[in-house]
Parts: sequence; C-alpha cells; structure tokens
Amino acid sequence: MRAKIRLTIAAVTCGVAVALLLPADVRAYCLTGVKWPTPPDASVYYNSSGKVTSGQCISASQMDSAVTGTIGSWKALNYAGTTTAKANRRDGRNTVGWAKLGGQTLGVTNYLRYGSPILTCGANSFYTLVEADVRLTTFYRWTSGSGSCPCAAGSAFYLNAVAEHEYGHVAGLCHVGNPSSLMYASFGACQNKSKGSDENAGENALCY
Amino acid sequence: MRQARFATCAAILLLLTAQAWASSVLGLSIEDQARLSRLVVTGEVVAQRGVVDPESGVETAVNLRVTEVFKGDVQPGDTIVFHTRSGEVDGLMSDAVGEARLHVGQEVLVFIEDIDGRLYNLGLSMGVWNLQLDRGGRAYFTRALEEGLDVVGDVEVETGPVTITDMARRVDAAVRQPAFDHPLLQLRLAPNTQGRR
Repeated sequence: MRAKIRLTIAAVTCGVAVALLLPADVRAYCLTGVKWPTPPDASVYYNSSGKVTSGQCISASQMDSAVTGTIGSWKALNYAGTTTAKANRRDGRNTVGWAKLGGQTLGVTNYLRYGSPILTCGANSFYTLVEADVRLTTFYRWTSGSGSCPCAAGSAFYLNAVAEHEYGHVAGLCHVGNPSSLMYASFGACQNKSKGSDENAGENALCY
Repeated sequence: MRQARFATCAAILLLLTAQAWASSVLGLSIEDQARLSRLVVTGEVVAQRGVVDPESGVETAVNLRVTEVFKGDVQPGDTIVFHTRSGEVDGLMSDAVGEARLHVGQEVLVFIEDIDGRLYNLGLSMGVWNLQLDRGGRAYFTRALEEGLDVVGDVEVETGPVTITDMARRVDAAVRQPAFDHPLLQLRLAPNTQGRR
C-alpha cells in the first residue's frame, strides 16, 4: 500500500516536472506547478493601511486603484474588497497590503500550499494553493497608468504593473524570457506593462 | 532503481515548486548594499525561532554570534538578533518567497538593515552570503540566493566567489563614499537612515 502511494506521488511529481522543464524563454508562459482550485476563484482583499501618500506621482485613490485594478484581470482571482486583515497572517484570507520592507525590497509574497490534494489540468498536475499574501513597499515612489513618469517628484515604479506581475505569480505563472511580457523577471523605473497574450495562454494552460 | 528515479523527480519538483511565486528586490552592487546596511558582519547562526511581530507577522528571529565586523557598532563575540521574513510558529508556516533559509551552525555574511529599530537581512536572501572554503583552505563568500526573486533594474547580480579581503575592502570603500551607485535608489521616498556607521 505504501509503495502504491509512493508510486502515485512520484507519477504526479514527474508529470508536473516534465511540464515545467522546458526553458521559460522558449515558451510564451511558464507554469510553477501550483494552481487555485476552480471554482470558486481566489478572493483577494486589499488593506490600504500604512500606505505612504506623500512624495508619490499619483494620488492616494490612484494608488488604491493601481493595486486593486489588476486583480480581476487574472481569471483565477477576484477582488473581494477592502479588509482590515493584515498581509502575512495565515488567516485564510488572501490579502495585499503595504509594509516597510527595507531599502532593497519592493514586494514580498508569502504563501501557503498543501502537498495534496492534487489538481489536474490537461496532462499536467498541480499542487493546490491555499493562501497567498502580498506586501508592497512603502519606501519607494510609485506611479500608475493614470499618472505620469517621470513626474515632478522624479522617476517611479509603475504600481499597476508590479502588482499585476505579482498577481500573475499568485495565479500560478512564473517568469518568461521575453522582456516585453508582463511576467519577465526584471523591470525598471517608468516601465509600464500589462497582461497580454502570453499571460492569457498561461491561464488557459492552468484551466482557469 | 525505480525509487531513485522517483526521488529524482521529487527533487526536481521540490526545486521547481520553490519558485511558486516571486518577491521583488532591487539588483544592487555590494557597495550599495553596504551603504543601505547598518551592520555587515560574519558570524555563526547559534539559534533561531519563529516569532510573531504585530506589524510584520510571522518571522524568524536569528541569533548570530559575530566573528568579524565589516560595518557597524558591534564586536566579534557579540550575539545579535536579526529577522527573516519567513517563519514557523505553533506549526503554522509562512514562507516568504526568495527569503534566506538558515540553519544552526551555518556560517554566513549578512547585510543587516534597521527598520524602525528591528533588524532584518537586507533584500531577503540577496543580503546573505555563505562562508565557504576552497581546496586550499582559503575562505570566500558566495551569495545564498534562494529561488523566486524578481530582480528589478539592470544590474547583474554578483554571486561570488568574493574573498574575505575583497569583501572587507569593498564594504569599507562604500562606507567612505556614501553616494549610491544605482539610480533606482533615488526613487526612495525618504533619505536613507539605515546606513549609518
């Protein structure tokens, strides 16, 4: 019996591994090996407390819109409203919020997943996501698509692009080698991006 | 044979699922990391435990016995406590993607910043280097990068090896020349208050 369980686990493992072994730069998308169960979609809440509004290129409400506006662009995620719950609590609630992350860190994602149950999609198998919390830095200047860059205060990072990229990870996508894709690993100041055909293909491969 | 194959597959999956999501850090030079840090020290991890911070949530408090000081007001032999952004409390795990994974007995170089009086390794695993020995017994550092970091900016991240002498020289030079190399650091909202010597 134990051998049978081990065989099953190994088969699932190899299935996911094979699906992921192709280099990211030869495909339009990259799957991490985890996904949300669907339905229902994963509800993501926003806690705006701790947000720094002075010195930004955009207003407080524009910052909120930039954080929440792209959650729903991912099929597996939906914006569920504001919350007083804090990010980085294992409370069963997926929360995006603000934090003092220091001089080098723009964002941190903490996650929880189980080794089972296993979800399948086409020929691939995935571990089940349980919770993910995202914290964004209060140390750096932000702008958004509704603002300018550089602005009078100087250059900035596009909050909507960084947030949408992070939500792509939350949805189950990893990095690709195409610099124009949202899921490319690196981006610079005043560089705006949004979800496109590569990410849509990735979502389809996740059966969202 | 079959078990070995299964084990290999399991190892591959573990490796890949470690990249499940990403955290984002600025790609910085050693010199800029030193400028952002309050402490740059080598030491041995002598203890660690999960803690819950009211603001930051579940973290790990790491006790480091200092062996060499490159920057900061501590002495060899002191034990300092810094925090990583992952942790386990009462069986509850919180994994910050890209955060350093330390163990008791590990010898490391750590760039440590001060956030409101609480010490953290700078830039998740980007701020931690392993201390290793080459075949000739000479010590050097390699960056203890964990998977899943988005690197923001165009600076190629240096992973080592860097000798102790070179590291000490570069940290010292950075402290003497406080202007940052990387233009993205100009995007900070507040002047740096963490790099005081």
